Amino acid sequence: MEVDKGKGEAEETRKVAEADRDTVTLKSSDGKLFEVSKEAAARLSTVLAGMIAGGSIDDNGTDLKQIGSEALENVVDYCNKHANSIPSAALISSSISFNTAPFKEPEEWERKFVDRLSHDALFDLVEAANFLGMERLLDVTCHKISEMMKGKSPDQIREVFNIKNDYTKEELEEIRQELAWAFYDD
Amino acid sequence: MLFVSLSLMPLQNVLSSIVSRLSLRYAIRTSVLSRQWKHLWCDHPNLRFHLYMLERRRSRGSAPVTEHDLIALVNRVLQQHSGTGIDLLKVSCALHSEHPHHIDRWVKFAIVSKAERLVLRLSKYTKAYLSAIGCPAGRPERYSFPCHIFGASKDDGSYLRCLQLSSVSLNLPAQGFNGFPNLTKLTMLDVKITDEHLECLLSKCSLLEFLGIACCRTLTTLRAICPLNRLKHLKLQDCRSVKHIEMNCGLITLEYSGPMIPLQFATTSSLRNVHINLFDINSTLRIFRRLSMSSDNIAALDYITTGFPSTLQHLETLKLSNDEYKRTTSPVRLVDFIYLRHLRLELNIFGGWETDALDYAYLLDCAPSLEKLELHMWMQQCGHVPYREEHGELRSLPWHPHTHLKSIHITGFFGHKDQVELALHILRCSTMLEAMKIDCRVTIMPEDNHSVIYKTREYLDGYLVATAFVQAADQNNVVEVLGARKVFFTATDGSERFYFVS
Repeated sequence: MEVDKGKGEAEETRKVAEADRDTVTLKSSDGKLFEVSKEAAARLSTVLAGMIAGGSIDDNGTDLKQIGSEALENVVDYCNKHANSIPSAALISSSISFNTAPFKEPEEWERKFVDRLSHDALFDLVEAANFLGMERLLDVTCHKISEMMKGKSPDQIREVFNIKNDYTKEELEEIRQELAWAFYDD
Repeated sequence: MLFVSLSLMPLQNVLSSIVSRLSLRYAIRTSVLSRQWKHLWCDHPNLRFHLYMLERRRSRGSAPVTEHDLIALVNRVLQQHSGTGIDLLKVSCALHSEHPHHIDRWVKFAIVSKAERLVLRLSKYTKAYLSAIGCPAGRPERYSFPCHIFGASKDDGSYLRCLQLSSVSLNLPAQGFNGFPNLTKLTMLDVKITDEHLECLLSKCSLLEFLGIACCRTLTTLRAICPLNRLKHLKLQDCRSVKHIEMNCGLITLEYSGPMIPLQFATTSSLRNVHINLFDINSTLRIFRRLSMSSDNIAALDYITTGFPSTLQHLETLKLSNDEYKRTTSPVRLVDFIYLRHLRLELNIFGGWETDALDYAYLLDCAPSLEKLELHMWMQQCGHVPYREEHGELRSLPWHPHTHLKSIHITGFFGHKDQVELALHILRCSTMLEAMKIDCRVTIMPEDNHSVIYKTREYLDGYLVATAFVQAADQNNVVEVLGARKVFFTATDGSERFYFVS
């Protein structure tokens, strides 16, 4: 017998949640329910924080019509992992090193988290993170995408990301001429 | 998929964020992907320019890349850039006073675009070169950093948090300079600046947390009378003319390299980490310096117990590098470093027979909380005599248990008698020891000395003596001897034999 895993798990946890209101229930565009820690959701997503504070959380599942179940599952997974992870020593120590880091690099588990995703799942996750105002997740996913672009020619990037070239040949040539330095090895 | 539907979604900021994580060159390359991507790179926050970026492009036989090519590139990129959201503007290229209008314009761009970090590295020489050789003869006049343009409007310098300058000259205007009220990090390498101008500059950077100054030969005193309450980290390296440091601040970290000079701070009670590299600058060839040795040279142990470190009651980490010419004079008073956990000593031993490694056993007495001890030795080649039993009985000192020391790392262990005695003393006294690594190889070298190359003999002797006398006395299986290994082979008669290689 095939069991819809996402739904089954969600219903299981909902019973727990009714007794303990530390979680919120989110509903994907295709109607699946997911439980997520209220604390983590509020900390990681500005949109969810706003909804929780504003009381617009539905105990039977808050509708997130813009997010598919696969992406929402990843979002919830990320929140739960984040709630459990211990910040690395680099982030908590008042560093005695003299360098200031402009970007907080993704941590090891965050790297693994996005590495296992397919391209489509990754892109859906970016959209979901953007929609939910999850700055850290957006950082991590954008970092991953930028790494996928490194070392690739424009043609390869268009192929991977399914971008349609809408320039004329003359326009392209003009752009290349303007900053020829960036294009010398194409 | 995502990128097709983009025009329908407010995802331009996401694309921008992705592009901003690429290097500038790859960011610019995304402009040819499609119209939507054309201007995304123009918000790129990290603008780094280095001559090598152009050199890679140069095809064989073409004219060499010059600083003019880089100037043209910087100008073209800055012209197209939106001038907003800039984190860093960095130019590394040998430029000097011939190009003031270009560089002035870049600095203005950094001001207008509210850049947080500005880095100008206008010399092709590395720090190591500048430190060893100094100002090369016939070098063009340095570019004069335009402090005056930071006074035009009140906000001008207020976005800057980090300013790193190298090979420029810095003159403060008589009036109309607002300083950098939010600057937290300032570094100067090979900067021509007077004592008075530096003091005045520091007085206008009241939020400074980190100050690094290296190879600034015009400085004779580093002084800040007005309080720098936020200054926690100070690094002063190879400023040969500096005779005195007097700062109104309470540091956490201090790094100093140069001759022994007075170091004065408003308070030293917060100083936790100190890294001092003492060397005498009067003689250029240190290997001959013993002949002209200045009288103020003292042994590292004496410096620790009577010099600047002896005043630092809260020290947790001390790294000290010193040239050893003579033996420690017996300690006059007992100093207690009750918080010291990590001690690293680098001893360049020029004194040969006059020095005595066993003196350093005293460190265990004055640092009762020490957990990690590193002792790195370099030795000027002199009579190399590895210890043998016929050289007389090993000296031993009274047993004082040390209950915190966990890790010991000794390098440059040639098996000399005093080294064996020191290693044995530490091994016996350290009741909580987890690891003692004895490496016969030399891992340090006096900065300007490249003439001594050790042969395998010293290493092998060190290895054999360490195994025979130190490892043999180890009852807890904590000693590890490194730097040589046994190689087994089968002789023609079928018996197993071995030899050592380092």
